[in-house]
Amino acid sequence: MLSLSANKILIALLMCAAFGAFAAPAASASSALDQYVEEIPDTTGDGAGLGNSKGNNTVKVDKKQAEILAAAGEDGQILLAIANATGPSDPPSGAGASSGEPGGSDQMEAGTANGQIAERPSGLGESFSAAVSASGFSFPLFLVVVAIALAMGAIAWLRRQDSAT
Amino acid sequence: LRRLAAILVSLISILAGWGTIANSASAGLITGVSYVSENDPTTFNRVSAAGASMVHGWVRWHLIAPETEPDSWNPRDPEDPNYDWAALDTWVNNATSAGLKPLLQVYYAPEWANRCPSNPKYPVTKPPCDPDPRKLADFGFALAKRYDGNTLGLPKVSYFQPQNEPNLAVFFGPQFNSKGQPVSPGIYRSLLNRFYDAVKSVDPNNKVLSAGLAPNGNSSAVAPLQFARKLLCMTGRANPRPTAAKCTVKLDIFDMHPYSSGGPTHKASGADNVQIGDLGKLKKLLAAADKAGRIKGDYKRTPLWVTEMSWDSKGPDPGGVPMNLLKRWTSEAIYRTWKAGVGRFFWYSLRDQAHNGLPWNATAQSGLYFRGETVEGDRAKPILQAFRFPFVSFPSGKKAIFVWGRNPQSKGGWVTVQRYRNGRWQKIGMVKADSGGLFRRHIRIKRGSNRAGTVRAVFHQEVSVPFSLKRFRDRPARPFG
Repeated sequence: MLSLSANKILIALLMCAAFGAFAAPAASASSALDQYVEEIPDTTGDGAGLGNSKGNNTVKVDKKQAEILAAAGEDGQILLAIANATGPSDPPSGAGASSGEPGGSDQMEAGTANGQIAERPSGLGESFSAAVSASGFSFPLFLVVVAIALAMGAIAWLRRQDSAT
Repeated sequence: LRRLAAILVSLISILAGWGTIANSASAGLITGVSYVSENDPTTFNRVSAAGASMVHGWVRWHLIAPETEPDSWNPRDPEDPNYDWAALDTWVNNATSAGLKPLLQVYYAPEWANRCPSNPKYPVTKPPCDPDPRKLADFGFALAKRYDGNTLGLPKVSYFQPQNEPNLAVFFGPQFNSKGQPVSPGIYRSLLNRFYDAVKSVDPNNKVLSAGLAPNGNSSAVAPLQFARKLLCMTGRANPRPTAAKCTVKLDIFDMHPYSSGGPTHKASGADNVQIGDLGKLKKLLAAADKAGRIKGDYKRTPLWVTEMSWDSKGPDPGGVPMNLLKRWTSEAIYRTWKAGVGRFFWYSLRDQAHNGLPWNATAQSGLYFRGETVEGDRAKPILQAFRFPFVSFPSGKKAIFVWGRNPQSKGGWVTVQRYRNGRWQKIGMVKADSGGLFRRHIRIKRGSNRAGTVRAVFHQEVSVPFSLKRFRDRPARPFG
């Protein structure tokens, strides 16, 4: 028969195992260079903001400059290619067109319980899943641990009741 | 009951431990430098001195292969006299002599290998247009064979990658059909599968990376998540699942270039775009594709690598990120990428591109070195140390800070964490780095004092770039100024 102190030790071990799992370390050049900047609507949502390839960021290379670059070896040719590739683009197609969300300037970093800065989860369930996932501990395994811990706790409580009566 | 309890405790401990170990195994960090085009020992020694152990370089297929296809030749034979490997041999020798592992990316295509005319909008890059998969595979075989470690005394190369950013028209075509539907993913899948078979037939231990994807979609680029779904024959943005098509994609490692339109936590606004804050979306898709058996590769869980990421620095580029902020962003980008489950991070690139009188936003000044007249004349930027010894620290609750870093030697040992206080650096804790040099820990400090001040790490007398505990808002930025 399991003594009360043994129960306490067992529960403590189970809790340590569960907590340890949570505390596991987190798991761990069309418009050439303009292509690397997303088209982001401005604060009015009209889309003339950062990196809009229809804005003022287009690059022109005159003929003379192009000839100099073309004759300047591979580096020069790459630069020319990048510059040539930069020009007004067609209207965005459905493929990857911006969803119209505002830009990132309002994204305040939010400190989490463990001090890491995380993306804001949209709900409790997502937060919980994210926490479990970030711990590197699989969700089903976590449920097993919690269920066993609860079961052992219940057994301990029942035995305590028994011994009291 | 006691025996049962003991068994249960053991089982749980083993499972918990297994979770930790499995997690740790995927949590390593190796850094690299991408598109190193110079071909001298100094360059590669600098890459190595930057704490990197990998180097990424272009294999210019159109320059190594003959300009016109000979009537009679063996394109699978690296010693066929029609090939000219001289420059690449030197590059690979220099890289390995500096202790670096090369990642060779095949780019361009000889005109005879294309099955449609290269997009005339890009006359110099001449993006490959639907290149013949068999011809690319033949070249891939010759490439892997030449660097199999048993040919002409040349070093062994294990990492190969066909093409660059095949979701961008400037690097690959065609992107869309006449109805505006993406066609590049399907074309690229055929190329990748054939290339994979060819490279693995030389040495099954070779690793093949799919080409890194550019971060944003537009009228001439397929958004990366959409490209990846189509490449992997998956559907569903929120809950990726396999399509009805019979389809297998052969790759060992998936590659992404998550350039940010903001800082290191920035998320793209486009739902199918993937910037640094969106790597989780791609991980989710890859996990679903793995589960559905879409990916045939060496790993049960296909690793995701980042082989390009950077920002131009303000100085020399007036539109770049101010140097002090860029130091923070450099370290934090490495941390965020690692935190997203990415174990390889490459910075683009070693030295600034030549400006040559072009507009600043047409050239990349994202090097770890300011460009001089010669390589010897280049000067290290302050961000070099942030790349070599990445370190971050954030407030944790009300009376602790979280620190994370990787020491420059990527070796185990004790790292000292210091905080600047009362005019001097004071030790606040020690952290044990793992065998890969990674360390992380929560350190308790005086209650309420963890939202201000600066923290740094010291390893073998070398100090990291100090990292402020102050919170920073994301802000718009252009990767290339």
